[in-house]
Amino acid sequence: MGDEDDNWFDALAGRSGSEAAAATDAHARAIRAAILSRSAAEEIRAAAEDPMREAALIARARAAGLLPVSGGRAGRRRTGWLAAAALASIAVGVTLQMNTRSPTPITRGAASGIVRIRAPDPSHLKQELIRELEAAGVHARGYEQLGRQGIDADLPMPVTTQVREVLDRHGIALPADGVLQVEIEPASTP
Amino acid sequence: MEACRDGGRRIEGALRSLDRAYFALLHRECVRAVGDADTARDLVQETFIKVWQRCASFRGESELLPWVRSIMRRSILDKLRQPQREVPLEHETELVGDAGERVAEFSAEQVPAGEDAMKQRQLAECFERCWEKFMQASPQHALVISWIAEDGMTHEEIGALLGRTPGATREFISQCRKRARVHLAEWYSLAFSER
Repeated sequence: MGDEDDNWFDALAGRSGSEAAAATDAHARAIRAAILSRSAAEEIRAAAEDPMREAALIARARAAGLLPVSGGRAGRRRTGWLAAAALASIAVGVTLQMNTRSPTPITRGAASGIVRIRAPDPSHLKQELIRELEAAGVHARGYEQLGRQGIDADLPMPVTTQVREVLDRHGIALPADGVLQVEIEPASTP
Repeated sequence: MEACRDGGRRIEGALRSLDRAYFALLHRECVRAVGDADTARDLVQETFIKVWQRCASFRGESELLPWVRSIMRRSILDKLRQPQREVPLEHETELVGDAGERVAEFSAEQVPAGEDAMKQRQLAECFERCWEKFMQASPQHALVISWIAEDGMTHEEIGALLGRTPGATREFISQCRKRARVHLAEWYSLAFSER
């Protein structure tokens, strides 16, 4: 880094340089002015107070061990995937056929707090669930692991009517601890 | 911070206070950096968790916001370090034709005053386009440039943020300058023309 770089850096940071450096600073001063002008014009706004957001933060804090964990929430989350792999075969045995509004049957079961669903198009169902949960004010995180589509979400407690409607619509039981964990596997085509 | 050190039930209330005090501000900066509101929300909330986990290292004599912001910026840079976003400078578009000459002539130019509103608007739009490309090609360099401009960061602060030695930090800043010349070439050409 030479003198020109130093001058450029100081001018960019708004620190006055030497007389000799003034010309080479023009470049950096112009960038600085453009960036500051751009920042001032931006219209990104987030609510100063948002109960849903705060609930998600508290859930994160619990998962990180900062707050007392109710019902083994954090541990279950961390080990969820190993348990999921090991218990997959068991889950098949306890899956339940349920009525649903979907055009094709969806099989659900639960093990270790994970709701298991089978669907002809897991990815589509995952996106649909995420969309509906988000619309209900829940931040849902989708993922794909071991060939399964999955969703994790920390539900606001007490659960709102909108969230309950989404869960009911898809035949998903309300998790007692507010941690929703869903796995969707492909259903075999008849 | 007292609640953090004390632990216990006060933490929940203090976390909520942290969110109410700083979320909007940090989220705005984070959206600018990562370009996505949901990702930004995750990063800001992760930052609050890290703040709590590291509160023992907070030195009370400094202000809280800059400390929180530095934690968030490190998280942003970590995210941007994930593969496939950074484009090596040698593969980037070189300055061509008149634009290259204009940048080369920079030393003789002055910051344009902007004769009229239309010119200013054109310049702003052009800068936005160029900056967008810069962010896509070299997000770390573009972000550090914006943080230097907005906060007047020093070499030491940038070095701490990047986890680099003073020498490596200076080299990084030099790279910032070079990359800015490449990616903002079109804007320079417009900004310093018709003088």
